[in-house]
Amino acid sequence: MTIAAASSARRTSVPGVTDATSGAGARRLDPRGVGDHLDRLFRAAWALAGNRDDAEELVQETYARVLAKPRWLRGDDDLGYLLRALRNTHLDRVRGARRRPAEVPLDGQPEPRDRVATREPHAALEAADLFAVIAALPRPFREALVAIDVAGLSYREAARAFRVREATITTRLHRARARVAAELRESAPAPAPISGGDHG
Amino acid sequence: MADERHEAVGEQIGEISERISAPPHLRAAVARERLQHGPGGRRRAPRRALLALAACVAAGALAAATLLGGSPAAPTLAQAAALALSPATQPAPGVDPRDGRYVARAVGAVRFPNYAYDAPWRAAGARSDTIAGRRAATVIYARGGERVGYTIVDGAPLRVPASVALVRFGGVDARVVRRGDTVAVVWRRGGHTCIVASRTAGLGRLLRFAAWRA
Repeated sequence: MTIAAASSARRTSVPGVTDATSGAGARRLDPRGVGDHLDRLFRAAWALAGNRDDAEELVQETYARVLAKPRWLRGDDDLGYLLRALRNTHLDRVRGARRRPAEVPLDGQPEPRDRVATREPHAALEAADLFAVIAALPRPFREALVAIDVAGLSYREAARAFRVREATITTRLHRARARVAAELRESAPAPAPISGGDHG
Repeated sequence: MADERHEAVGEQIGEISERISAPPHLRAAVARERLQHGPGGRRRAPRRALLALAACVAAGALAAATLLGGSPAAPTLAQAAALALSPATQPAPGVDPRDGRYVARAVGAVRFPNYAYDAPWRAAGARSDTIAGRRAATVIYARGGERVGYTIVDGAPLRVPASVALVRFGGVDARVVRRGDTVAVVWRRGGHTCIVASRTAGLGRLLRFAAWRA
């Protein structure tokens, strides 16, 4: 039995992600292929959650839910499906955290800084700063930017994944990029790693 | 923002993002999960899925009943879970000077992990109790406002109802029980019952604790 199958029915389902369980043209999501998208999902999870440790848990839980039962999809957009599952799992976790009472730390020690262990520490630090800024964006902007710039979906794929119009995705992405650029321009020493509007 | 700058920002975000890869332990965990659902994996018909769902709900109800009650004659999961969720009464154990992967506390040959070895979770307190004549040692781990209690009960493994869902994760066969916002994962190590429980950490975190260096 899988992780997800062991938990409640709510846990085994991927809320908001509808499978094409009937009708012609549906194909089963191949469990052997879902791991190919792990890096992209991990980056997306980091940008959604805002920190590396939560991103790892989020990815793990998403895979557990998706793999808990056969998934039937239309088309070949596995990454879009997985990204939608990731987004919905993230929202579930956020809602669950809000329902839980806040607990006081056992002692007064500060929370340790999340470890950043990659082959390129400088890149990880840069990404950590960037993902923290993205995670603070309003949800619609954040999701558009994560889908397209972080996970690498096309505008069309992102629109299908989140079930909105392409024009909506385009607008949200534009605003998200402008906000990220402005935020990093304010917080980073000159020259800013990302600058928008200064040379346009 | 002009279109060129708009696109340039997107490209830079993409470039920074692409330098990040999933860590090896996450890759391994996903691979293990995937293996269980390969081409030979189960394909449940809708009717069977409904039956499985009903069984899962029943198992959850039974697990909740187990957590709530239990026989007074022997240690129960309820008692062990209650200890794991109880506040610390002793200071946190230090790191084992012989092996930094563990803290200096054990029940028999079963040692408590030092999760701070490779994760931002530190031992924040401990307690020692006796339940139904058995020694039970607990170490509380914390990360900010989150906390997980890890209890090892000395002696023979505690009885776990067979109906409680079995999870195979990271080489560990564990049982998962829930009650409200409380989640507990129970498994056997070195002939003893180990249990991690939390009101704040998710199931994924608890399973990773259970499977740590299994």
